[in-house]
Amino acid sequence: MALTREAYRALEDIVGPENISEEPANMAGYAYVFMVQPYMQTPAEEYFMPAWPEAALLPGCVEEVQAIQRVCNKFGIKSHAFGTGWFPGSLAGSPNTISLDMRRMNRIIEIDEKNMHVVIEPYVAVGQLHVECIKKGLRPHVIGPGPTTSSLASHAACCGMGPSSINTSHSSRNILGVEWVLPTGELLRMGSLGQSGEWFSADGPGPSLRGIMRGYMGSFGALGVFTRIAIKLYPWPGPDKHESTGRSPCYDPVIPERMRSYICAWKSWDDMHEAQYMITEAEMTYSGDRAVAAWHGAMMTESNQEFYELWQKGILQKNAFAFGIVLGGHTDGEIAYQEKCLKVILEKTGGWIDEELEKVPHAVGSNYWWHLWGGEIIKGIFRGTGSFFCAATGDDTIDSACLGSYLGDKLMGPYIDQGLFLQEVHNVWGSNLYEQATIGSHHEPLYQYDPFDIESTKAAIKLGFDSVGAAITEGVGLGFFENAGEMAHSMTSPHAHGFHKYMKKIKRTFDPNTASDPHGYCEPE
Amino acid sequence: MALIDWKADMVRCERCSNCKWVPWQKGPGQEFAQVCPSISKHNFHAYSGAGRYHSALAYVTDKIGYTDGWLDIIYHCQMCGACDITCKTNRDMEPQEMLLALRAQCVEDGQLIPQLMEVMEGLKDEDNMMKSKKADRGNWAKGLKVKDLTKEKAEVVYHAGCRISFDEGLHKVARTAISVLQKAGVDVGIFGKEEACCGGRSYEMGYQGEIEKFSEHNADMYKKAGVKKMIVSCSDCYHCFKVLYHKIGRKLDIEVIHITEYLAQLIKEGKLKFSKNIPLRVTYHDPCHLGRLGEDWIPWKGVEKKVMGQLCLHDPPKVFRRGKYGIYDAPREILRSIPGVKLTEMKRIEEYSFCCGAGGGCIDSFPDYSLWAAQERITEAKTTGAEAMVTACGWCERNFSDAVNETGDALKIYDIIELVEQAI
Repeated sequence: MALTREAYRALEDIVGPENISEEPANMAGYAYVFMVQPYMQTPAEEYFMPAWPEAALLPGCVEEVQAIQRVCNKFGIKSHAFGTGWFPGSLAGSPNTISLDMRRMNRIIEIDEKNMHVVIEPYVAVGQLHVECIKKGLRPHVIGPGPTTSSLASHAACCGMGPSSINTSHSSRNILGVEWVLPTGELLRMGSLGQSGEWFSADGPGPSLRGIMRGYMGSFGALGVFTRIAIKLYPWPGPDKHESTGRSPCYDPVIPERMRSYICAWKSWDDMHEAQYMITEAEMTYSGDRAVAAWHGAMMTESNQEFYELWQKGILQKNAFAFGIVLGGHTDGEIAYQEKCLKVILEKTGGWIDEELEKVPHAVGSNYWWHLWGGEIIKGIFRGTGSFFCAATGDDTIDSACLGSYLGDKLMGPYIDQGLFLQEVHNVWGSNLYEQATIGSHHEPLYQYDPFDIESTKAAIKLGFDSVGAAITEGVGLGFFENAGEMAHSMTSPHAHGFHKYMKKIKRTFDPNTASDPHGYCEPE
Repeated sequence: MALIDWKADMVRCERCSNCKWVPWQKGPGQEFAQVCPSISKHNFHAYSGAGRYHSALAYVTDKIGYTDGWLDIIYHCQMCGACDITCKTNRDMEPQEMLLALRAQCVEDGQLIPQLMEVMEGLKDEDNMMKSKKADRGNWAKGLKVKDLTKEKAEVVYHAGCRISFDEGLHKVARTAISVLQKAGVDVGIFGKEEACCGGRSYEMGYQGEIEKFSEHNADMYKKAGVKKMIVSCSDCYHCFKVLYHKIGRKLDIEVIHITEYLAQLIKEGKLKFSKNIPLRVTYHDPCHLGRLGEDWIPWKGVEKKVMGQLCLHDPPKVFRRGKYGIYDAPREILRSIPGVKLTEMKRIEEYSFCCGAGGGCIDSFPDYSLWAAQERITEAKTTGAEAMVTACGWCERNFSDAVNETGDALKIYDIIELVEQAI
C-alpha cells in the first residue's frame, strides 16, 4: 500500500524533497541484507525482505525525527529507523512502513576525556569512533559486526557482543545518557540527561528505563528512534593513531609497543574453557574471544583460493580449539605481567601458541584487527560462502557456552557432512566472557551457507528453526537469533517466565498507535 | 559477461557497506572517511556499490523495472572503482564488472540518458568524446616540431587523448610532454588530427560496442607507423589502452606507458635532471584510472566451483584485480625528486583515493554533481596545507580547475608534467 499523497507531502515537508524517496530501485536497497531467509523464515528463493518500505527518508536532526513520528501517528504509518542497516532486524519488515536511514546524523558530538564517555549520533561507525577516541587515549566497546556498523544502533537497540567484551562488556552495559524519540514523537531524555543535561548515566532519577529501552537484545527499531547517546570509554594502551603497512587486500597493523596478538589453542573444548576461566580470573587481556579455525584462516588470507590452500596444509585444523587474544599494557611492567600470566595459563591447561600458524602471512595482524574493532569479519564469515546463520546461540556462563559448543557441533554436523554448509571444524564463535565472565559468556555456533544455492539456503532455514527447539531442550540459554520476532518468542517465552508478555505491554504502552515497526521485536499486546 | 551472469555476486553481497568507506585498516576518522562520491552526495543506500547490487538483483528477479529514478541512480556514478577495491579488500567479488554490465544492459534495452546520447553522437560522427570537430584534434600541437606519424617513423607515439586535444586549457599538458620527452632524447611522434579516441569512456558509459571499432582502428594505425611504445598523459586513455583492450581480447602489441612511469624511469637512469628549485608544498591526487584501475588486466575464463561443501572457488583459479598494483609510486617519486617541492599526503590516497568527479560520463551528464565531488577533494587537499594539488590526468585537472574557478579558491592545480618542465 503506497503512502497517500497527503502523507507523502507531510513527510516531504519535514525532510525536504532531496531526502525522501519512493523510487522502487531505492526501496530495493532497503529491502536486502544477508541472512534474510533463515532469520525471517522466508522461502529460499526469496532474496528480499517480505515487506519493502513504502518510502525511505533521511532525517537530519532530532526535530525532524519527532515530526516524522507525529506524521506516522497521524496517518497510520509505521517507521523503522536504522544506523548502517547490517542486519535483517534493522530493515523494515512490516507492511505500510517507512525506512528512516539515519546516515545524515553522523557526528561525534563530544569526547569527554575526564568522565570517559563519548556522545554520538546514529551513523557514527565503530571504526570511526575508535580512531577518534584513541586520539584521547581512550577506546570504546566494539562489536562483532565490525568497524562499518553503527555504534549507537548496537548500544541502544541491537545486540551488543564483541571481541573486546571480556573487558568492555555488552553494549547494554555501556550506554549512558540517551536522547530518544518515542514512537509518539515525544522526546525522552533518559538517565542523567533528563535530570541535569549531563550524559554520565543511563539510570535514574527513579527507576531505570534502560531495561525497557533495550533489555538484553534490543528493540530493533520497534520503540522509536535513538538520536544521540553517550557510551562509556575505557583506557587505550596504544599510541594516538593506528598505523598499517601494505596495500589492498591485506594491510598489516603496526602493533603498538605494549600490545601483543596471539592465537592460542588447546586440544579440546574442555581445556579451552578451563583456560578461559583462568584468563578471566587473571583479568589480564585487552581482548579475547573464541577463534574459529576457518574464520581466522579466511581473515589471514587474500582470497578463498588462498584460504583453501592454507586449509589443505592442516595448520588451522591443528588449532581448531583456539582462543584469540590481544594483550595491552600501559607500562612495560604490565605487559610483561600479562605475557607471564598467559604463559602460565597455557602451561597449566596444556595450551600452545602455534609457531607455524604465526608464520602464516597476516595471521598475527588479522587477529589484531579483529580484536581491535571486529576488523576482517567480512573476510572471515562472508567471503567463503556469502552468508551465515547460527544454531542455538546462547548467553549464559562459560559452562553453558561449553555445552552450547558441543550442541553446535551436534546440530551442524549432519548438514556439514552433506556439504550444505562450509565444511569447517568446531565452528562455534563467541565466548565473549562479558566483564571477565562475571556477567556471562556468549557463544554462536556459526554455519556458513551460500544464499545463491537453494539447497544450502533451505538447510540454513531449517536448522535455524530447529535450533530454537534444541536450545530449549538442551538448556543453553536464550540466544540471539532464536529470540527475535513473534514466532521465536512463542517458542521460547514459556520457558523463560513469559518475558514476551512484558514486551507486549511495553510495546503497547510506548507505542499506542504502532507507529514503530514491530518486526524484530513484538506486536503490541 | 551479461548482467544476469553477476547474479551470484548480487545475492552474496551482504550489505556490509565497506564499499562506502576507506579501508578501516587505514584508520579513517570523522573526516574524509567516505570513499564513494555517489553515496557521499546522495546518501540513499542505492547510490552505493552494494545498493546498485541490490537494485540490479531486484531487476533480474523481476521485482523492479526501468524508471527515471533508477537510471538516475545508475548514472550518478563515476565508475571510479572505489567500491570495487574496498569491496575486494574483503570479498572475492567484482562490483566494477557488475556496474559495467548494468550500464551495458541499459544501453541494450534503449534506456539512455540524453546528455550521454549527445556525447555518443559526437563520438560516432567525429571520433571524440568532446563534441568537437575531428579536424581540430591536432590543434594542440600547432607550432611544435614533432614527428607526424602519418608521414614519418618514430619509436614512441604520444597519444594526447580527447580531453587534452580539445580542451585548450589543457593543451599545455601535451605540448609540455612532447617538449620534455624530446629534451630527454625520446624519439617521439604524434598522429595529430588523425588520432582517434581510445573508446574507454564510452565503454564505461555502457556503449561497449564502440571500443571494438576504435581498438581495431588504433591498432592498425600503430602497426602501420611501426611504433614500439605508446606514452599517454591521460589516465583514462592509459586504462583503456592497457586494461580494456586486453579485456576485450585486443591487447596492443606495443607497450603502453603512462608519462609518469616514463619520467620516473628517466629520472632513475639519470636521463632527466632537475636544475631549478620550486619551493612549493603540494599534495598528489591519484587518478582512479592510473591508480586502482590501472593495474594489468588478468584474463580468466572458467567456472565457479565448490569445495569444502560451500566454499566458492574458481576453476581454474581466478586472480582478482584488487588495486594493489596500480601506478602509485612513480608520480610520487617524480615529485620527491623535484628540488623544493614538498609532498604532503591527503587521507584518501592510492587505491582508496577519492575520485575527481569527472569519470563515468558524469562531467557531461551531471556537471553539478561532478563539480561537487571535485570540491570535496579540494577541501581535503587544503587540509594538508598544500599550495597546489598535482594530478596526472587531463580529466582530473579540468574538473579540479573548474571547481577552483567556481569557488575562487587559491589552491593551484597542476598536471605533474608542468612541475617537471619548470624544474628542468
